Amino acid sequence: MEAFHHAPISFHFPYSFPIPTPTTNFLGTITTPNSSSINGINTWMDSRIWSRLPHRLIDRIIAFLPPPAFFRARAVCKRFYGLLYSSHFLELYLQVSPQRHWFIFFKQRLPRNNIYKNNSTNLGSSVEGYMFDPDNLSWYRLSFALIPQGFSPVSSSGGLICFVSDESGSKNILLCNPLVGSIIPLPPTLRPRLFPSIGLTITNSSIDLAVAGDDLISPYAVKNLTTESFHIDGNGFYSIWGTTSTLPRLCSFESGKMVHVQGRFYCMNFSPFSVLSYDIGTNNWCKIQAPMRRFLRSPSLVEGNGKLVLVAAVEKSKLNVPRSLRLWALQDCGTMWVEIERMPQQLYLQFAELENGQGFNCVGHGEYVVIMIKNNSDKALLFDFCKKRWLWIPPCPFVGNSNNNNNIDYGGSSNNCCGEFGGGELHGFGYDPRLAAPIGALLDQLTLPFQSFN
Amino acid sequence: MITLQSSDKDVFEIEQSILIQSGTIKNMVEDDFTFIPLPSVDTETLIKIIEYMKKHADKTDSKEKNIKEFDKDFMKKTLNELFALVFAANYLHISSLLELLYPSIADRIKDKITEAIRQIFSIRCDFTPEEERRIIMDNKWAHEGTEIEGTLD
Repeated sequence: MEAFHHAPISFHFPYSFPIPTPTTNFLGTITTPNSSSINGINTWMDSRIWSRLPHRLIDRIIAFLPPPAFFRARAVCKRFYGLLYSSHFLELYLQVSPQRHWFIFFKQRLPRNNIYKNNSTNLGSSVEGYMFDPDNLSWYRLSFALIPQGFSPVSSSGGLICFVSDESGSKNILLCNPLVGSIIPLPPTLRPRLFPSIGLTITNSSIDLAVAGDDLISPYAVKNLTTESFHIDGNGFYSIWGTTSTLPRLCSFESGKMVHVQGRFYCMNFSPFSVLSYDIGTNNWCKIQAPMRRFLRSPSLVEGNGKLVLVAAVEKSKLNVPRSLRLWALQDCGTMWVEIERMPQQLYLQFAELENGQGFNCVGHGEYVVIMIKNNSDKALLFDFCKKRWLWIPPCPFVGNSNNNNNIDYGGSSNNCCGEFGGGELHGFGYDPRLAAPIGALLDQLTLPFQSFN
Repeated sequence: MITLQSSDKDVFEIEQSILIQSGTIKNMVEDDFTFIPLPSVDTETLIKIIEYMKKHADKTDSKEKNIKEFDKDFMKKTLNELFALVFAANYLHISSLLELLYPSIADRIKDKITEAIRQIFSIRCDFTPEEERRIIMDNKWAHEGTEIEGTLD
């Protein structure tokens, strides 16, 4: 490494180091240093101060790096590489690292008519997830190579992604942290089910899981009857699929997704539209009427800044109400909805033209909501509750080019995409990428017998 | 009034009420020191630290928004300056300033290439080229799809 010169004068000006040719191809584009700095005044870094910055302080800075930067930094030196395994660093990390309201998407699997091709064509193509950072509008591709065949992702919380076995019967469940490649199995559910809806919420010291509906009352008949719940927390309370509760009559769980908001799981009930609410503490279900339920199209539930938000298109053909896309928040009383946002009409016209009545899916996380048009090539919207801003998201560069790893064009403009959302439609959930999930230690105490899924 | 002396031998007279935000200075004041030499903090950095403490001394609610704006602007400095501040704030035990600095610096370096980070922290690479290649391969996802830059500022 080049030695630094010590200059007798102070060093206020930005300094650009002329970087030699990059050592690998993986680093993407490298922007050239600001031309004014190359030709302008060079300053010399005072390595006295910098080499004196103690490890403790450097670690605290690193603990704030977002996951992609952290994993790139692991190549800096052996000490940085080892931080991921240092319990001291992880403790610090868990204390200070901010929550990130990111998302992860997966390609939609085969339709739910249970037709599985012989997997020989899929050999070698393991599950991939596409992580999305809404602050910087950037995409990352995560590999889930360790997940065995026959599992699908259904939910995410606390930095872990929950996979459930596809085969009907009692369900096997895996919790995975894709950043570190860890997998934690949970004990299998008790009642045989086909495609139940899963609700998951994980904190640093507790985990709650609810598995609802699609009870197999006979090998070929399915009915929405019961819910099983799983709970473990640091205070020693646990309930391992021990409690079941009955579902309200005549409910349908078509979306298969449950959203967690403040101690309850919510999911959309269809025909007619209503919202089913499950209280985790009391294991009870109740129904909530949806706003404008006769005029909704494509409703979805998302968590928005600590409240339950319903997103749907409104079509009121009889009255003189313009078509629109609206968001309602459930008030604290638990029964009343208040409209909190409406898509600007100009944008809605654009959106409706692209969407063409096909419907759309929504996922929310913190202040962000992602609206994905079904069956469409490359259009999805991002809404920011705090900034009240709507943005078209640049399409995922990894979809549509899945066999062509080296030829990914990031392009400058999001209008000039070669990636696709659709054709292998993406579905996903909010995901907070974490280096560690303390709940793993609690779950390890379950000491399950080793299960092979091959 | 307390007198602080920087490593460059410049002196500053500041009210005690402002300076107690620094744990180190607070301890010395409690031991009845009124002249405090700070051999690890140069004048330029000390001026910025005093500016920060003055702004944060008055913490009434109405000023909170101003303080946030000030903090945001305060972080708009070169990495050199921020590192000097981290070092001084650590020595002086000013936790609120440190808690502002860590995420700001992390934000500044998050898009930089490995070599730039080594330069910035004065770290020698102790990996063989083969090992380094291997690590990059293992964490390939982190390198894909991002604009990374190589400046040292």
